[in-house]
Amino acid sequence: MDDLQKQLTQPSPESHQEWTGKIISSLAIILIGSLVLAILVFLTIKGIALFTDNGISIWRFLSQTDWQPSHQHYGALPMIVTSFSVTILAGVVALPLTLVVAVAITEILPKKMTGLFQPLIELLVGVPSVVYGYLGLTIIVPELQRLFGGTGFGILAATGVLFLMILPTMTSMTVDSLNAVPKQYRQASAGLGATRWQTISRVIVPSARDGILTAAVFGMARAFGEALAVQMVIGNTAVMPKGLIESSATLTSVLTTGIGNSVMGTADNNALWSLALILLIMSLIFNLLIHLVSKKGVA
Amino acid sequence: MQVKTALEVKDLQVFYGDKHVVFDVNLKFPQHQITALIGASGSGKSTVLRSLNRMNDDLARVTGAINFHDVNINDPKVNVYRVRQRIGMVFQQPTPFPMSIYENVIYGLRLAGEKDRHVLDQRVEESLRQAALWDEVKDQLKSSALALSGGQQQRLCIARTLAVQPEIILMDEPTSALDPVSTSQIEDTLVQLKEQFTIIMVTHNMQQASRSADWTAFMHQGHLIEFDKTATIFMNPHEQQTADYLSGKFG
Ligand SMILES: Nc1ncnc2c1ncn2[C@@H]1O[C@H](COP(=O)(O)OP(=O)(O)OP(=O)(O)O)[C@@H](O)[C@H]1O
Ligand SMILES: [Mg+2]
Repeated sequence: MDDLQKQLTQPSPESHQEWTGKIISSLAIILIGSLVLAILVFLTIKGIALFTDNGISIWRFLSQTDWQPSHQHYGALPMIVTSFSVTILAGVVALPLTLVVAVAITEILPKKMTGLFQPLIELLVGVPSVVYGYLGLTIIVPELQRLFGGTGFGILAATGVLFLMILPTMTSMTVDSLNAVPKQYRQASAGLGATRWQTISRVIVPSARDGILTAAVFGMARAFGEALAVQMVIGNTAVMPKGLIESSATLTSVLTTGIGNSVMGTADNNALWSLALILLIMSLIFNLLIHLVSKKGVA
Repeated sequence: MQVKTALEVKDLQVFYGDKHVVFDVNLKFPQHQITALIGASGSGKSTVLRSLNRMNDDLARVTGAINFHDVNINDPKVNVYRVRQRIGMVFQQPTPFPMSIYENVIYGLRLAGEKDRHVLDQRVEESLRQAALWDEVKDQLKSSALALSGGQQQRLCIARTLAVQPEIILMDEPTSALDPVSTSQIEDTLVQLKEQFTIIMVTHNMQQASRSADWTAFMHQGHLIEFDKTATIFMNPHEQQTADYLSGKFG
């Protein structure tokens, strides 16, 4: 073999580097993958222990309305209903408002104002949820109490807090997707005799539809999983909600209030793990939804 | 030959903020003819074109008169939405909306409040035929316009403008983003279209101007230097600047 042939066929520092890189990144992927898998497996095993070890039927767990761990009553329906109620209500109220604010920012307000709004919204995105909970506790709950009587705690207060909490995130995502609509659409539409409002409602918003839906699902996923802020204002009574300003409890708030008071391995503790499993499954579903909606946008 | 005037521009001045970019332009665009606006980059061709259907409203200050059917459409009181229905515009980049081909074509009609299915169907076929796109898309009217090729998309944009039945069509470099085959298809289409429409087109493509335009206006640094029959401009220009530009001495 002559020199050139050797050079071409034998390993060099570069090819070694390439190999090390590959090995390190593969190891990292395996590590993260197995961590995620471990969490999933652990949560699933813990989550189904109530049904396999303590002899409670899944159906009863999901359909009964009586949650009294001290009396071996494990009906999770009230929390499921409450969790979905606060999530859907917050999403339904936030979506139109988000859209109005985002359209105002991207299409109507002068550039200078936009420059003011956007950093503000991004700042709000980073505010920890406990702050929103505290706001709810000191402003929303007393206001509701004054307006409707009762304690003020409940689904409506939680909806208010979650609404405030997800609004900045949803708005900022919606602004991004409206900004991603090609500028030329606006010109082309105006050139066909459209007013600004017609252009917004017939071209710009429909073009950004997938992004807007993604923002909504993302916001609702956050609302569904939020524990602390909700726990501060919902009242934490694990009963079927009788009204919007009656003390109730969500999956997350029961988990955070209950987990310290139960002993690992008992049925009570297992029941909490089952609630956590529902949360996990729901967040997987939300992720899947986001994936589906935003996938469609590309095609 | 006596030609009617479709649009008359008088003492047109345009300012972007303090910047004066179009000076004292006077022009009579002949009806049912193709007029090309030529000139170096930055000479104000697009600015003049956009003024003709008030697309400069948010960008610039435009003074002077633009007479259309004896109405000065540069008057602030004029309904710009109606003006743009009568004087349509096709842009450089093909910009079909992310909707079906059908929905794209009827977009302007919908805006104008047309709801009758028969009218819409009929106008879609008519406009697509006029834009020489019908045969290629008639079986996929419901599929997304974004799946069409660039040339097809531009012809769709032309059809979309035609569907509103304007009298004048403004085009700003309508083929500069397209390949030579699509370009010559569109040029053929334009020649067909002047039977029914008046076309005013900005182009950097001298062959295009000489092939398709009946009249040519040459602009230089915001001034209209010369406006005449295309043959005269290209073969026998009166102004030295025009001759210099066409022979490639500047711009
Ligand atoms: N939106 C704007 N704001 C400020 N100045 C502008 C704007 N649009 C154009 N101009 C300026 O006005 C002058 C004429 O521009 P215009 O776009 O009309 O030229 P053009 O002849 O169409 O050029 P091109 O061949 O490159 O398209 C240029 O000096 C340009 O910088
Ligand atoms: Mg231009």
